[in-house]
Amino acid sequence: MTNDNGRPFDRAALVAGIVFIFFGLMFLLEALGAFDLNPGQLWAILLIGLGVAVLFGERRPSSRA
Amino acid sequence: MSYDPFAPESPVKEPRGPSVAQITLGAILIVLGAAWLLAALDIATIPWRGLLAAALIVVGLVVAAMAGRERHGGIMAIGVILTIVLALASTAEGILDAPLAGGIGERDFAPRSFDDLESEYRLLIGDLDVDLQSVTFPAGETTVQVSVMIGQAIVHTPDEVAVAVDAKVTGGEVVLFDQSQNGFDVDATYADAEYAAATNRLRLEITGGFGRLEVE
Repeated sequence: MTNDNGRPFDRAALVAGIVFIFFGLMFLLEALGAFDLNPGQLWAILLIGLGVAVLFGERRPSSRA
Repeated sequence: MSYDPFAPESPVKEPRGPSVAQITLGAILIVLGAAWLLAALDIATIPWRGLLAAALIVVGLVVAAMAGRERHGGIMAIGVILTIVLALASTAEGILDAPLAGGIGERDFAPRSFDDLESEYRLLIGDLDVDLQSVTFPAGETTVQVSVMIGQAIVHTPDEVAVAVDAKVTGGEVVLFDQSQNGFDVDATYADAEYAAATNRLRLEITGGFGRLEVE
């Protein structure tokens, strides 16, 4: 899929953007005292976010012929 | 290489304006720089974690909106760095018993009256001295929170008020009047004998990451 610029749509960027928004909201709510995350919970959520980004991110086409 | 006057002219590239990623990155750096300047000049207290989290949301919106439009490697890297910084800050706050708040350096506070008294005195790194001896505390219980992430905090209390202290330090020493404890995960408490029955009561909640906490 391409857009007006002829550049292919980057699903990985979309997923990364969504993951950044999710983490940003999570850190913002934590900073505002809406909830507390202990380090174990926090890094587990980060790991899940990384997994989502890897799983749903687009695979780059191989440079090999 | 010889000059050929009849060679076709190379096409002149039109200057391109800044990309969305550049504009976003520039705006974030300006906002963070301005916040840092305000904090350095003691004009405002900056909620750093909230500010960085808001920046991460903006980065996420830009990265998602730009998917397929422009190159976004730089702004993506900023998003990763912001996520790591926020995660480390949150982890440090969770592991160390003190909030990531306040500045760096030496801070002396000596409120002259109860109206000048603040409910929180915080320092990230350095020496914090809070002198409450000029404050006349009203009837009832007044709670004051003091914290230093790395360094030393000393609180001077007036004689005319009954004092209770809850002190926690992840690693270091806690000195509460004539009692002292040191080591890791030090959790010390103190209360004047007449505290419960006293009219004017001061409760100090003092926390530290690594360093020394003292109440005298």
